[in-house]
Amino acid sequence: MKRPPLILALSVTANVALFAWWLVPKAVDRNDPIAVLPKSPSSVSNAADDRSIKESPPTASQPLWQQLDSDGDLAGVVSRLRAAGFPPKLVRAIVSTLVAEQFDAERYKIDEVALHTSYWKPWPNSYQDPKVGPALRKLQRDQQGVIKQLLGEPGPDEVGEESRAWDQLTMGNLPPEKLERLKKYSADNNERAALVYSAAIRGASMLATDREKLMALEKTFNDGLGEILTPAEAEEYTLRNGRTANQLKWMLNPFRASEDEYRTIFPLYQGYLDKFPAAAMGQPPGTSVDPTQKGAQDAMMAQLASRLGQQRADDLRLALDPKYAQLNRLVSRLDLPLAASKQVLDVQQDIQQRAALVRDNATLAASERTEHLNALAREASTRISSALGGARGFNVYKENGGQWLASLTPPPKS
Amino acid sequence: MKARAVAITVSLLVNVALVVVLVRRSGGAADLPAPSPSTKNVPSAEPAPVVVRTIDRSGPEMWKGLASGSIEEIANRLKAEGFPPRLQRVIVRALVAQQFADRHRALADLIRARPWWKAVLDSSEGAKVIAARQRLQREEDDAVDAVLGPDLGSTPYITSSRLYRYGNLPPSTLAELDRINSDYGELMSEIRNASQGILLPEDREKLLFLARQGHADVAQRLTPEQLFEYDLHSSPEGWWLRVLTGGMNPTEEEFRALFKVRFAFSAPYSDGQYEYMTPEDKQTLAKLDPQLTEQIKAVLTPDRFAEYQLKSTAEYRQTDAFAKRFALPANAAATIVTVQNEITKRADAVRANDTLSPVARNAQLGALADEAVARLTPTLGDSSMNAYKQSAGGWLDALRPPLPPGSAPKG
Repeated sequence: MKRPPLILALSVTANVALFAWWLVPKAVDRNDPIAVLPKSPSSVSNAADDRSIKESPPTASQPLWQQLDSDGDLAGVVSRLRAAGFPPKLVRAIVSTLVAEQFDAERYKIDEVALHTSYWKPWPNSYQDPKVGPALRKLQRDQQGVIKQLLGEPGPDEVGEESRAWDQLTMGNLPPEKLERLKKYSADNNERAALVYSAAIRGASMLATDREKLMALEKTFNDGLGEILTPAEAEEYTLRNGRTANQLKWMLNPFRASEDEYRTIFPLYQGYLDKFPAAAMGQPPGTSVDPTQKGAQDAMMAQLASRLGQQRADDLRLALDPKYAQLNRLVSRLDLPLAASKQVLDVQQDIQQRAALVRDNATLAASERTEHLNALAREASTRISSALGGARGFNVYKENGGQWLASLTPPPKS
Repeated sequence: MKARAVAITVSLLVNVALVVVLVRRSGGAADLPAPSPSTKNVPSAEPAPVVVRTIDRSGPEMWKGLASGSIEEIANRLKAEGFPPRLQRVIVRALVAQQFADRHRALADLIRARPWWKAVLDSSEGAKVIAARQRLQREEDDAVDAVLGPDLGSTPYITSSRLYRYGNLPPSTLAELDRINSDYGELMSEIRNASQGILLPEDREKLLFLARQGHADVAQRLTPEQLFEYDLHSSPEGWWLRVLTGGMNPTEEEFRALFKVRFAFSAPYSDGQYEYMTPEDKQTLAKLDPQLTEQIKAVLTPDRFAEYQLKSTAEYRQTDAFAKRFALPANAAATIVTVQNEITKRADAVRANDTLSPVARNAQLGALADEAVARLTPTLGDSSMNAYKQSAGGWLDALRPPLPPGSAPKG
């Protein structure tokens, strides 16, 4: 029963990753240069530093494209496009398309199953397939390598304003050279993480060892940031990226943290996860029975209370406790204080404990037991409606965490 | 459970859509000389007349000559000058993006203004960025399609995806359906993104309204037979049926028969869109489930019906993923789930037995857990059993009641 949320979480993670990829306009190579094209009809020489024009004399009747693509050599196309005054960004877009076309035959061959999927079969998720995914991603890296070989790194006028804004938002203010190194470093790490996910059948059969591998990958990645970034830059980066940041941002949404609050919470939470990495994988911090972990949690919360104030710290405790996660989102959507989450869960625990006693009470006749359970259901409805601001909130709750209410009263035996 | 499965399905579909979008994406906005504003905003069946201009064919002024005039003129010139279709699209796309430069700048400002300490897909600011980006992309796509037509420069991925989603229809119709779905999808995703994962009744009403409007727009363009094919390919019921039947590997005929039954059954309730149904509709459907099962039984052979029942569950899908990962024999997932179903049914009976004391009940449940492990071990092997318990075998732990406070586990 705990697995579907994991699948959902992984799929949502993939949503986020793909969405982030979508937000970043393409054209930037982040991988190793690969000089060999798969069965390319054209040869590729390095045009990045070769601005000379190699072309046959144009004729008035010759279509322009034939003239630009006169020898089928991509480096020659690059030179001629530049010489013809095509803007750098457009040269990159055209050459990227031409290179992609040369890889298409191989891509379609690798991804043949997806391209010929019958409509009555589920559409395969090629990029996360354990076999097809790595092959497609390698082809993509090779393709980017050829583009880089032909054009070099994109110049400032080849990067769109949105892309720059997105980079700034997600990575902080970094000089272009560092940004490119960081992107490549991150892409390499993402590929390693993708291999773990796809080996687990798109996360459908994640094991403790997979989670350990992912945690080790993140640690290695963070340790290596120092080779690219200053400590201050690395701090800004980890505040924005990685599992801790993503998890914290997700959990703090109903808490509506300010920037200052987030900056205050992050290092303490990171320190807590460093000591108890399992907490990052969904182990409820608020329900741990490990006294050492509980002590660390309490110490963290005490520090946060002294910095944020007791009221905010109380809300934060709820926000960071996974068992309140769904309720927190619900009360946030209903514009209610987070304390309402605790009220609702307290009612649930109280009612379920009393229901268990009723079910275990062998002295009750079946009809009496049913009556007791019905009374408990009515009481739960009244108390939860009150906590959630009335019937509207209660009805939304029934479908968002309140499914237990339906199982409180068993259907009559037929 | 079904709501969660729907959420997973929707999330996976978003992944599919994003992969398709990413694969088809090529080129980008460029800082180019802005062409004259296009006079068209809607697709044109007839290309604009070719405007003959003198182009510097050998020097650095070639691009200026090519890119002068309106977008339509430039597109016609590119065609006349032998540029391949995909390059025509790339170049026109870049010029169109230049026309939308102010919008791109505004979008960049919106991205910069978004609080970096909040999740992208989980905040009103993030929802605004997503919506603005989708709108801009849609408008640019429309502007490009208006000049070049929807199919010029299309890729096998786009063609394959459209045939898969809509059925074997003419290319122009497929493109039109894509446009309709994209337009309504944009509006619907705006509501979803702002909902932060909790749909309120008013959200559902809006989403259902948009879904109905979109379907009505599609229906206007198709014959009744084509519309059935469209629903077969594209409706939520069709998508869900593909998930349910993935394990039994249905024939086309079986799939169509199952779809007809299920679609007719669910259509009266929010047009069969489970996510938008009221709790009352969901309860009604749940009560009618035995009737649906009978109708499904009637369209399959007994063997295939038994397979459908076994393999259409979330438990089977998860076990199947586990079996594939550990390279277990082809029928291993079915064997494991058969044992799981039998033991779970017996455990339910034990739990429902009012005559048992709590101690006796727990003892019987524990014995069932032991029996399950013993019966599964030959299929899983000792090495896979531990991994199974961590993933698809979570139900085994659920059989063992929690120990009373203060007691220590035996052994």
